[in-house]
Amino acid sequence: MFERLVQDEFVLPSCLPVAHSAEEVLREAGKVLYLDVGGLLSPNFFPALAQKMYSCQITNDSESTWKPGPPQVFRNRGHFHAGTCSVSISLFPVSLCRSSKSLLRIVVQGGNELKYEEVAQKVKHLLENDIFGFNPGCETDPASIFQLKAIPITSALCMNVGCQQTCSLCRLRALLEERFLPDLDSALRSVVQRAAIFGRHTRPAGSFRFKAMKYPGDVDLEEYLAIDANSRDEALTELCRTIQTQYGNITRAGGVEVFFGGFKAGFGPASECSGAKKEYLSWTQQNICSSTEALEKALGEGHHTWTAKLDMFAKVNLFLKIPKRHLAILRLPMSCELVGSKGLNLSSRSATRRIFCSQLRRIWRSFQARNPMQ
Amino acid sequence: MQSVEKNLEKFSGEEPNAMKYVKRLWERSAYLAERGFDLEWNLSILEALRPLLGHWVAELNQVAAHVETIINMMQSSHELFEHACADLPILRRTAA
Repeated sequence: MFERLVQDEFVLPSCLPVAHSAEEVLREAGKVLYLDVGGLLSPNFFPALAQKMYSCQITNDSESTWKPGPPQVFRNRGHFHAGTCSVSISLFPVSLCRSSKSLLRIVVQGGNELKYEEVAQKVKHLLENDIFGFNPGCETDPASIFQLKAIPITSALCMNVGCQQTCSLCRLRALLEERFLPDLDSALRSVVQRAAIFGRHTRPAGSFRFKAMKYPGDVDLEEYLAIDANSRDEALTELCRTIQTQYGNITRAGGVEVFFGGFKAGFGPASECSGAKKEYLSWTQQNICSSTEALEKALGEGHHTWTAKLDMFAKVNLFLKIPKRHLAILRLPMSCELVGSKGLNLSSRSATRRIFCSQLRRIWRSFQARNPMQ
Repeated sequence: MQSVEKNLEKFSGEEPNAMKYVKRLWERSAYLAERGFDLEWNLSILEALRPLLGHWVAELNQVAAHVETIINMMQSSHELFEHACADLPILRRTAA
């Protein structure tokens, strides 16, 4: 499985990134299975899983079709359901500690108890054989993977008895319903796929990802990259080469004219003086292709909390089902995070945790004093 | 969160922008609520902000974002300038 994971697919240690949600208490008996994934898991595994589910949802209206559950932003769990039967896949908390092993926990609840074992085994089989391999065939027809039939529909989805969509979790779920790539217009999707280095793992980010944002001004996307290299320098060289190849002459995507707006990474010379305000560097397409060494250095320095940010313009419709608003030209910022899968894991892991902890401390202090009511 | 907090300060101070401020408030509460931090409180903030995100003010903000995009394109290069100019009639229609 380890070999399959690193083949044609980027992987990151399961400690990344930081958005971990607490495991829900089991409200009723269910089937629990564990799957050892050898310590490595793509950080976008759960969002990618949700996206596949969502694709399935909009291409097939059958009630027994598996659908994504509430907010799929967590990096340690995913949830999907068909009728009353729900399946939760999460990183088993113990594996987040010292052990380099990662265990995925598969919990099947609700629905027909007689089917628990069968469903759990099916999900495990799917994860092992299809999801981790990211078989290209699955990308084009996700419904064929997740169409687990013969699940009876008996009652409402929420596990809280008598909730009727009024409990906090149901309300939160309704408010934070997310956008996925299938929601976007097909021309825009092709631009996104062309702009992304690993297109399959790019997804809406920031406020744009929430469906509640009815009038987004631009399209924000985020992409995690992992470069398989022996050192940080080697990873930077590889990333630089990839960016030059990918964006050096980008002009069209799926029949749509695409304009390069700017690539931001690194700091200007003035930023090196002590006390000077940081001035971020902006690169043109020509600069990207002609200044390899400088670009490598800039990528090492990053841009805000990302490695780089790319702006693009394209004249497309925004959404699939809302043609009314014709937003003519969109900006497509894309952020990348540089992590090498060899030699860089530990530093990235500790840095990420440090940032998260310091941020939490700052918020706590803020809530105690400066903004006690926020 | 680091970036959201910075933007909250920016949009309520040096570069005031009410709609962007609302979006960042939404993102902060969404982030915290999803993780179970003060769920009820953040849920009430999200419910209060929700109508604003579909309000005509938000629609107007989208038009402003379009203008910003056109300006950015015009400032980028001569080639982009012409494409941006071609977009002005569409802007006029959406803003009407």
